[in-house]
Amino acid sequence: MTEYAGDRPVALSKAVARLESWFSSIRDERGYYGPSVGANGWNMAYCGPSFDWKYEGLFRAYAARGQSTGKSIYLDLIGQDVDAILRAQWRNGCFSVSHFENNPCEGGMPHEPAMLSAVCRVLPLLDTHGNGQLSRVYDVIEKYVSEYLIRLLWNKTLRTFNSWPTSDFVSYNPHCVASALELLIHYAALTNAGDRFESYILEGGKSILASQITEGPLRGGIPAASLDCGEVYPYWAIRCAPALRLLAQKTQAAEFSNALALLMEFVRPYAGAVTTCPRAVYADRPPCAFPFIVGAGADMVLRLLDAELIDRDAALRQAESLIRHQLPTGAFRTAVGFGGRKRARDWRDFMPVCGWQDKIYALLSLFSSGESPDAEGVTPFETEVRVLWRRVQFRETADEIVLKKRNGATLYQWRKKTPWPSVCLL
Amino acid sequence: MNSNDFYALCKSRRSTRLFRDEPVPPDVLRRIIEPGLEAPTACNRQLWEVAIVTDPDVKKRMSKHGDANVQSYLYDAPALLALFYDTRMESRNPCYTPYVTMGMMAHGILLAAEAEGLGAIYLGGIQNPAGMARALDAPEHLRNLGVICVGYRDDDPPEPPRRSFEEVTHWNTLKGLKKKCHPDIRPHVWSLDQLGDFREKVLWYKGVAFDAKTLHSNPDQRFSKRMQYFCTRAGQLIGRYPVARVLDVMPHNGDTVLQTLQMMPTGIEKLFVYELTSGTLQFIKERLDRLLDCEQVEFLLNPGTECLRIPLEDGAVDAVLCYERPGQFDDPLPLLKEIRRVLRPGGSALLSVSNRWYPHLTRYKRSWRKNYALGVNWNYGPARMYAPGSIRQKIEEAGLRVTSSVGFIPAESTIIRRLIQWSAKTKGFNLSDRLANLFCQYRPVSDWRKSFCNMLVYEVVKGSHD
Repeated sequence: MTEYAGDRPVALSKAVARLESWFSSIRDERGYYGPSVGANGWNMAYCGPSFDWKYEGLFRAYAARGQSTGKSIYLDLIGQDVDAILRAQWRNGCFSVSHFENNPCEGGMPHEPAMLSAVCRVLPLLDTHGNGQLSRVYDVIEKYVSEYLIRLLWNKTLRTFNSWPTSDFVSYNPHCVASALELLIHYAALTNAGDRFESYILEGGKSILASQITEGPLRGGIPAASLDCGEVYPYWAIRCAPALRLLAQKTQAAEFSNALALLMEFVRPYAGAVTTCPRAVYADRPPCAFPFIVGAGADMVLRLLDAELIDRDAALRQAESLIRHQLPTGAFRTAVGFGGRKRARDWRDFMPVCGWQDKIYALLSLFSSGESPDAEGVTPFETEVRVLWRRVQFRETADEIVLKKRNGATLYQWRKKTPWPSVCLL
Repeated sequence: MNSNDFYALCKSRRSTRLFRDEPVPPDVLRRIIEPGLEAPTACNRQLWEVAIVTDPDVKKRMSKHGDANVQSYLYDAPALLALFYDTRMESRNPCYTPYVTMGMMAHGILLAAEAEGLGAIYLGGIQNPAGMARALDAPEHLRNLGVICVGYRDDDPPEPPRRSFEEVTHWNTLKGLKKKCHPDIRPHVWSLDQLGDFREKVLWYKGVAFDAKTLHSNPDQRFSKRMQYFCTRAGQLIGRYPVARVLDVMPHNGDTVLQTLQMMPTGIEKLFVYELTSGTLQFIKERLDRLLDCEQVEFLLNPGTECLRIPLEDGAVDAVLCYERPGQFDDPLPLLKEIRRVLRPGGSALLSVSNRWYPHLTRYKRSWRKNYALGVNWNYGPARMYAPGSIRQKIEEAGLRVTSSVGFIPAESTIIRRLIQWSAKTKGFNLSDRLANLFCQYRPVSDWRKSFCNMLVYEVVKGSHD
């Protein structure tokens, strides 16, 4: 583990440089490789390029780094990534391998709208950069919005967005709806087509409001599924904040700003230290503390900062508190406590996932100084982890990730930048 | 209307599952309901009541009591006609007269809707008729007997295969009626053409639209961990060849083809898709065309229904994928031999089959003695369940060598999941937080525990000197 020395800019810049080295070990022109581990499962088998919410953090970080360092490499990376995204679109508008822990499957929510929102946010940079992608980008987003999001995911009866093309009448996922609304609002602003999406934006926004819990111990929380009023996952809840803020700005309606304020009240107890944020809080029993997903913590800090619930100093302190989770490879631990307790050392805690690292990268990039130290490359890292009750040796190098049993048998082996692991028994 | 018009009307009626967002005028609704009110009714009791629902909130309440998980989208229809009968007038005879009466009434409405150029579907799978009645504030003496969804058609339902007049009718006696193949869950009584025919029926029933919107009951099985695991293994296998020629044997409505193509946008020279019947093949072709650029896909049809033959030359492909299809044949040997024939020497195949020994209670009851089982319901058709040893023997008999065998979804995960579900319902005792993080769901295993997994994946090779 990295010992944080206390020299703030240097330590942060060093952490960013090492994380960038790690990213370069899993990236090529087709995209970012690697397995996915999420809160509800994992996909260790398909490790090829995937198109999910990782671009939220990556584009934000690249933009910040491009600005702070003045180097064009970051804009080039954005251009390369946007090219890969454009190539991944299907004829019906959705994107291949966008289901994160359910990969390889298309149509992932909230991954696809989150990814395209990120593209919308960097469009001015692409414009300035002048790499000629702009018209194709607009075509791709238009196709996704009209052919997939509105045609297949809009639920006419619930008046909101489903998470699957098969409509699920009785329930929806507010954070997925929020990502879809963010995309619509950004896209409408870019194309001056506010009226076209007006009804979807307003009615989708109302569906988020309808799912918000307004009384009791979970007051202000927004459940991950609209019918689960007894439990709230703070990380999913706070993903609704940007959409509520945009809706409040767009409509000037008090209901959206009130809902945002209520949501912020809900997350305020965790704003001081996101590392203490529980995975889930319940109406009728103690919260579930673990796992704490480090990338989710970083993303919470970013969203709290965007919502001005915390100031930059507080965000900086929280960014510093996350640095201790950086591994010698440059990647951060994915989580603490996947095994149900802090010291469980579950294998998932150490399995680096691009779709979480990007959020840490985005946070650290806000505070890193312009000049980054020379990249050290990926230092090999080895530790003992547990797969259920078994002790297993985890090893990551610049070229591969391997998990071996104590008797030498390989449980998992993935050579980086290849689409499939050579051994996969996880 | 002359008689021919009437016959044509009966023949052209289809169940509509996609409706335009356009209200149906009240006078049209009246016109289609009135013929239903002319239906035969015992002793002229006319025990029917119809609730016409156009309010979205009421529809939403109703959907919770239907088969909500799989049919809820149908409650998006512009108008819902909830059919009720008066239980006070129910004569408790063995012919279930009220049900028959209501059925005849429903058919009158469906035919009238067709005549009006409207689309309609009768939903009989009401999970909670009492809840449905409550959702409509119906008095206690009314019992729900289904819902008809009505609206302007936004789909073009295919013609469903129907049993013929000769097959169904029997003059003067039913004596000597032979058991038809379809009601039997033993695969060995099915001939190849019956299997092909059934698979087309299932395809029609499943109703997967070309744009991946699942229109009927089955969720997209590509999201199942089983198929994901199989497909990533397939990717590993294909990835060994710089440019591969691959054969997909009877892909599930194109599911495995879609997975393969999105994992391998390059690296496949030719992907052959082999099917038993032209209808299924056409469906897959149209589905892929709507979703992806698939110039490298070539479609192969089994020549005739007499025997199973893949229309490829010997040694034409580097790799073969066959997801759970061997289980649909009582004897998979001809299929396995065909797979071996079209593989080039040194080529590999990935085969998966259901495991007979998996302790799934529903299947277990049916398969313990009889060695075969239905899936969750009839739509999956009959399947032979193989013990790990027996399928391996068949593979080797076909001249293929097993290089690896892995089981999938260990029973332990199912047990833990059940424990979590049970504890979540118990007040003050919830194991979900602890166990959900602990247990490894859907873990492939390669050791002795694979005998207790519900799917077995075999990687096989054809010897280089064959």
